[in-house]
Amino acid sequence: MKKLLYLCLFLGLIALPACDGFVEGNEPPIDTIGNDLLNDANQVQFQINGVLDMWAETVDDLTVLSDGLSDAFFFDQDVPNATFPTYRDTDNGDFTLDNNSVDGVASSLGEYRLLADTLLTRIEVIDGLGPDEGGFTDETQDVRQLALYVANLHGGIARYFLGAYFSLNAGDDAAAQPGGAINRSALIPQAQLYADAVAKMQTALEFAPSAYDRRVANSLIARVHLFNGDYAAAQQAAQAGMQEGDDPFQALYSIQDANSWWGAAGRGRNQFVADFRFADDGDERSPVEPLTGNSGTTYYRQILYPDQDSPLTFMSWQENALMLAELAVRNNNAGTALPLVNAVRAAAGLDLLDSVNMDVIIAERDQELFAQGTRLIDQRRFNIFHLPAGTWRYLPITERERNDNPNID
Amino acid sequence: MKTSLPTLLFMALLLVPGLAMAQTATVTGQVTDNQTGETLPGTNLLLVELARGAAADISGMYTIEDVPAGTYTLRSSFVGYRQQQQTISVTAGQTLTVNIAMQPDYTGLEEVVVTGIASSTSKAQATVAVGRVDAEKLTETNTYQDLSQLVGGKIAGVNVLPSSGNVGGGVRFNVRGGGGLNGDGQPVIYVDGVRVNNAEVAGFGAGGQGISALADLNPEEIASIDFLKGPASTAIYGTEGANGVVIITTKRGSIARRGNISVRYKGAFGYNENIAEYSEADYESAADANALFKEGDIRQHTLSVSGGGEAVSFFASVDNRFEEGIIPNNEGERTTFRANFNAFPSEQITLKASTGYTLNNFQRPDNDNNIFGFLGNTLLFPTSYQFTDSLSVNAIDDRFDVNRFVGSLEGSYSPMRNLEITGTFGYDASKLRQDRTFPQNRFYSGRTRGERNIFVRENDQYNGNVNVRYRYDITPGLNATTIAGGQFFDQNNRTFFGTAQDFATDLVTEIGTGSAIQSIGENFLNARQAGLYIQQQVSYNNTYFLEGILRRDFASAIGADASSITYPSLRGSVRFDQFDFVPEVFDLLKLRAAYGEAGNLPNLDDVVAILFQASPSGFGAGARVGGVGNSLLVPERVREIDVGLDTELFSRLSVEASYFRTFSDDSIIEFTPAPSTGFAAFALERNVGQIDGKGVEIALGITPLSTRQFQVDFNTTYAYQTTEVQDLGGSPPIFDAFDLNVVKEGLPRSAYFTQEVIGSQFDDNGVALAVPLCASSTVEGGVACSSADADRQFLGVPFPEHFGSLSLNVRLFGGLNIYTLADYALGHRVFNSTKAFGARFGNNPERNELAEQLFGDDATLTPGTQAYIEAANRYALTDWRYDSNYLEDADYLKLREITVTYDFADLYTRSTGRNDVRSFLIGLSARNVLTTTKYSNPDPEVNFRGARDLSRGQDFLTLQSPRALYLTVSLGL
Repeated sequence: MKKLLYLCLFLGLIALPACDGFVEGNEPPIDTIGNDLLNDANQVQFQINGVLDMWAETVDDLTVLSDGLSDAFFFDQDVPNATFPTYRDTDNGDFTLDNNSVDGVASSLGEYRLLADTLLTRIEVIDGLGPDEGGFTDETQDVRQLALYVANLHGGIARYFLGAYFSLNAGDDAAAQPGGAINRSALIPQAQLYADAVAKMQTALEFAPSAYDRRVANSLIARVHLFNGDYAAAQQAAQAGMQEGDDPFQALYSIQDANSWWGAAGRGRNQFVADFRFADDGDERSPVEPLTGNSGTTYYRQILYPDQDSPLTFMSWQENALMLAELAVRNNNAGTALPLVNAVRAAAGLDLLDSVNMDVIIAERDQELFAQGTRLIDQRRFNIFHLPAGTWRYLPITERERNDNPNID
Repeated sequence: MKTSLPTLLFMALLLVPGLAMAQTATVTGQVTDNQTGETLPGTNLLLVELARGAAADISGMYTIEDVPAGTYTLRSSFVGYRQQQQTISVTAGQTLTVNIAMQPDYTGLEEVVVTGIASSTSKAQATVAVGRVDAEKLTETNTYQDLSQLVGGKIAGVNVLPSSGNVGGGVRFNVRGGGGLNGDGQPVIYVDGVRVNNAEVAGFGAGGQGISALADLNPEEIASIDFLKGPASTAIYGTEGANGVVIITTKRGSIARRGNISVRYKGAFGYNENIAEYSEADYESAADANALFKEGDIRQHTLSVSGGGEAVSFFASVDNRFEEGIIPNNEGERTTFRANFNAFPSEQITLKASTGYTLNNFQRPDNDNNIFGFLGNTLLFPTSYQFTDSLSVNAIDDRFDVNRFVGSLEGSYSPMRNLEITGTFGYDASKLRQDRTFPQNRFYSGRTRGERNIFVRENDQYNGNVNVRYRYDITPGLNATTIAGGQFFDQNNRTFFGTAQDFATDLVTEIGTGSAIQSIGENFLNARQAGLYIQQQVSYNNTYFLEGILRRDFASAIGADASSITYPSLRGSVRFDQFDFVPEVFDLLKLRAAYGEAGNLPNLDDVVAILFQASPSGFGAGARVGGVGNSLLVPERVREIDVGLDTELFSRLSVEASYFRTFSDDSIIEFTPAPSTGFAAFALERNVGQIDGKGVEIALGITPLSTRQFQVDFNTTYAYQTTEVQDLGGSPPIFDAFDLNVVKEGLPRSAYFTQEVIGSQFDDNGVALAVPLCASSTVEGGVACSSADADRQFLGVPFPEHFGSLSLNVRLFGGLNIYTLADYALGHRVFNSTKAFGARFGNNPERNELAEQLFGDDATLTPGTQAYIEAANRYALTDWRYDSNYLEDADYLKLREITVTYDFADLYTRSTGRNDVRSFLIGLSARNVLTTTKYSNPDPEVNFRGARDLSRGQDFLTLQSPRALYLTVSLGL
């Protein structure tokens, strides 16, 4: 009996570490990796792709929602398959703070900002790429330069998004407190975010891999200055910006990672439809096609993005030209503006105009930048907001941020 | 003749047995039922002091030979009868006849139930209440689609809710409030020692309903089910035992009645039909939805063979069940094979092999939260099929094919009396494939020229257990048992999925011919658990029982040290019926108390600070955040106290009552990091929650009449259960995806928590305002409705607070048997989301009429008048924007099962003089016969998000459970 007891005790003693070893010996997952494994020069391109991927994932949702809130698109449940209450509230500027469509895009934007900033700091610690290493090989120099360009440019774009599209409150700019937070900070006001965005983009200029990339960065800098009301700085940057004939700067999509327009306001599913002013307007820049509502009413859906993998233009020489034209009009120099506007119209096969004023600029932007997320900002800038006083003019900083951020109530 | 000494010695030795025989006695007799007088073949007789015995033969006769003269205890035992013992004295050479009349065990007092990994005991001695389902008896005359139907209504405190009427659909067990906040709230299930996978598999969604892995288990193969309800009973199972443990034992062979073989065929033939229709008072389009309902065939054939001798026994069966649902595109066919063997190679060794193989095929209909669904296209709009046309809805094909093996080997070795070493190895391997096809030639929103989805899930899980059990007497009367052992569990789960669109023709559906690959991917999970346990049992004079249990558990956690945790348990009982001061009428009067702990594990990747993943994009695959975690996370701990009283009077009336309280701490609460951190797509878990639960469970059984010709058994159960979330550690209330069910401090788990509309608001002219008036906790008379949390009200729970059942079994004229079971639920509420959405889309006749009267071009009501006010209030109370308006009382009483059977075996024997037919039953059965409920849709038990989601009690275009009517024929040879 004693022998048995000793045997059991012995077995018990060896069983404890055996159990530990058994459960720790499980096979690792195949779909995730630890943070440290990315501190490797060979993994930098993978991380650059990650930043671009999150940019694409953010900008489509952001443009859908901001255009839904603007007067360019609207939501009507008479449209077949238009069912999301969060989109209805977006259209009405009547957000509750738990709007999960806004949560979705805020989450993507946060991750986009994080990935861009993380790439920047990681470059510093990766063997062979750090700032003090010197003597880079051509290959590592290319990787380092591209990473620093992408990380800075997109760090800037992320901050621009926070400033341009989010606010703490409903109502006009005086009440809204536009801005955003970074890593649970207090609200960073819009102007500061715009300034930070410009600073980042200017750093990106130093690392731009090509002249084209420099022009793109300059156009983006011009846009931020323009929206911030710093017209002189906008003018200076736009002049170094994109030129006629430049390819558009686009977020790319694939069938696996579809452009959200396709499923939220496109041929995949119609929730938002284009305003009736885009129907039969003879302007190919705002392509729409008819769609019959449940009641028989004819609506129009955008087909700027006809497919899941349709790219989304984020900056173009046309926008750069329209910025220069707007700045010229603001400087009472409509004569300079006219050829700029006509160049844009000519590229779209439209008749040339005889004269230009701010209303024309607004209308041209409405068409040229259709479904690109700028209409909401223009409505605010030009004080042509279509919803009643007291409604939201930005997307709300939602409960999720307020709950977990001690610096924002 | 000369005889040598050796020869003499040899002859003398030969005589010894004869001499010995002359000095021994024989005990013989017949065993009968003391109520009916029927003989009882197979009764075990044992002379306790000699540890020798015999089994009664076909005519109930037994003989024990070679009994030395003396006084002995003769113990007789037989399943379904009270064990009894008597003292006998035999003298040398005597043949003593002892006829035994066995007392039927109407109340199950002698039933041996499983009380732990390596312990089982009669109910009379158990220190915890164990729920028992006598599946073998129930399946004699009923057929059940799955395990949930078999268990439902049978055990006090176990409420089973099917999440829809889909064949093969998901099932939720509601037991003791779900044991803590974490985990899926579902019990762990063992079949013959195999820990079986009980997941709900959704695959490519069809609106919310999944396929239940439990649908692969065939109720016809089950002999009994023991349900251990909470940590007080399950601590020895460790982590994952928090929500209860279900122990299923399949049928096994025994010494057969004739020729060592018994053969049984059972056939069931019938149909399913809808229990109710949608009302035209609730839906303009009700007729379109009701037109979908049809009768669905049920056919089942079961053939089983069992038998055996002293060395080997076996049970083998093959079963095929085909069943159609009550709407198109829903059917299932399940074929199961089972072969179980027991072998007794020596007195010390027992081997058991259990093997089951299942082929299961389902076709799942599109319904629930789904624009392609049958109900979604017929109940939301006044004009049907606005999302998707009817031909396209019908053309979706969603099939699941499952192959599954569940098998175990168990060996026990008893090197010395009272010492037993047992080892069990179990294996559950399943492969599931889903094929979901949207034909190329039909139109589906979001699908370009057809779509094909393929989902493959392979789940292999192994478990093992080794334990040593030693029984010994400390002093006479003070008996002890020590059990020590270990368990392991290893799960490998691999899934693969792919989606393609844009097919050239509807005639070819091969996924590779779709020119647009939408997604392709795989997942892999390997999780392991191990545990060591020791259990010490002590009993004194069959009156006092005490048990202590300690379990040390280990579990895998990616990237962090394996977490380990210890769970203790202490339980005891006292049988007052053993005391002289307790009147004789009490066969049992037992007080018991138990305390135990168990837990719920965090997810494997919840403990890693930051993980990255790769994601495809238009720029190529990029690195993205794959998860955030907390390396300090430990399992949630659930503690339970369970006290109870078990009693039996006059051998005919039994009452089992339990009161329990559960306390969970270290509950894992998911926090969504602020979007500004970049981690908002992932939850961060912290051990900060606490939830308490309490409840009562009562089971009562009466057998008022029992004779050879007539017997009446009545059973009833009642249970009350509630929970209260105590602490979320600073987390705001956690809402389900539809913002209705909440986990909030001070409220029951999953409570409905939303604004409550109380009427309309009016302007100064008496005109109704668009925003209704809502109840307020601060402003008397209410406030304008808003989404502010402060204005939300607690509006009930999606689980029944009180539930139970009533069953009556009547046997008449020997062979006629009538069985009924009804169950009820009180304090149960359901959100009728179907009706809310119908109102939104103009499909609610009442709301349409009110709108016409109040605001129409020819409005008939004048602001300020009483009629206007009443109509406006009613209009506000049908406002679809507020869930409270469609939150309905859903208490129900269901007449769940009725069976009338007649056994023609006696008639056959009498008329032919042959006794080669053991049983010949013909029966008529029905399930879900009648439903009484205030709930306005057909079925108050459904949930549109399946069986596992935080969204509970929400009926959104969800298919009702059907009524089944069928004929059974059963022949036993």
